[in-house]
Amino acid sequence: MKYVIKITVFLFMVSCGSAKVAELGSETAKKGEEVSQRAIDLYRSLSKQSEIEKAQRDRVKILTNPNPASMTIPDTKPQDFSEQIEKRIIAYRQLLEAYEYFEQLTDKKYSEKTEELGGALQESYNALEQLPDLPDEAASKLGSLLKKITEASQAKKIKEHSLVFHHLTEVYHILWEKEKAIWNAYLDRVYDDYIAELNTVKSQRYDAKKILELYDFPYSDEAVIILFYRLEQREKIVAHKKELVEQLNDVGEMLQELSTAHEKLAEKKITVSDILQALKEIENLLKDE
Amino acid sequence: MNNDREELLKIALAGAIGEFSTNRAAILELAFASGGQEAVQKLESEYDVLRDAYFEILKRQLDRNNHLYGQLIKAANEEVENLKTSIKQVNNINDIIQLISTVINLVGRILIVLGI
Repeated sequence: MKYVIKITVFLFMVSCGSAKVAELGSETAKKGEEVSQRAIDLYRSLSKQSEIEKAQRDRVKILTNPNPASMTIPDTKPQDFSEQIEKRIIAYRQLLEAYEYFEQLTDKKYSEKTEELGGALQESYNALEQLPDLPDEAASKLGSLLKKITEASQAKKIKEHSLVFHHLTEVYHILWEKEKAIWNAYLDRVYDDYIAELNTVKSQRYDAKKILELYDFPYSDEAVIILFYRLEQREKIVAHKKELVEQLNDVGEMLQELSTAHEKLAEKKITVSDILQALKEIENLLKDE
Repeated sequence: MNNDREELLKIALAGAIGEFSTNRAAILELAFASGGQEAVQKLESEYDVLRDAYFEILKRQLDRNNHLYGQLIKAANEEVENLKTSIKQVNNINDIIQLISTVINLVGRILIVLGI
């Protein structure tokens, strides 16, 4: 009886930690899924830049041509990055799939099912008339005791896999940061050049009356109206680029926080606040969209 | 081409592209004045070549990491398989308890049949 009490107390202590590990593991898995999906979405946005760039180039070729009446319709060759992007999307899809399985591993259903089966096991045993029924105390604890065993085994697995995810996300993060500069250079060419080239378009190419049909500018001077229109256009382009640049930064930061959360979760004695802080950072960055 | 030279070329191309972009209309006016629409089209083509070269460098830089993505895909896939095994192992406890219950039920039935 003394041993049973000792084992129960031990399992209870382990179980409290185990339940927390499963809970934090589940939260980390969900965040991992969201971050992977965010990276995939961003790559999809980057793949659309090729069409945007082509359209901008064609447009600016017409607007800056000294004599558009004699020019042929421009048809700039699109800069196709689909091959590079597809490879990266596959890598993040694979990470997303891994997180979906990790979330399954953290599911409470396994320990809850154990408790349920523990009850059924006790009923089967008590149904044997030839054997004395289990003492009430033991009977009431059997289900929860078995549940704790499952929770402990589950927590051990979660920690093991968390360590793998820590290394995995670390590499994803390193690669992301390494390539961020390349994508930023790409976006500079797509957007900064377009802005610079639009700035060189002569004002005579714009019709102030048409602009006023689109915008409600409170000015009468045609030159001012045209300048305000040009400012408006520039701000739109800058905002579009800024959104993509921020997303590039955010995904990088989120991957780093994910790696930290996994590292902390894999530690023998977990520091709940550290994990929660990393997850909170990810949540804030996900909201930043 | 080594990476340093490639980077230098990239910087030089970016400089040339930037220079053309900020003076685009004026440069094209000069071209038109000296050789008409044909000169403008030629200049546009040359500028496109510059941009193509720049984007080609970016693609190459990305391609250099392709093998790392290949390794990541493989590692993440292996982790999926390992997770499947772990999920099965966690569930094994339930399978064992279920089996014990079945055995006890069976023993109970045998005892009833034998009238022990």
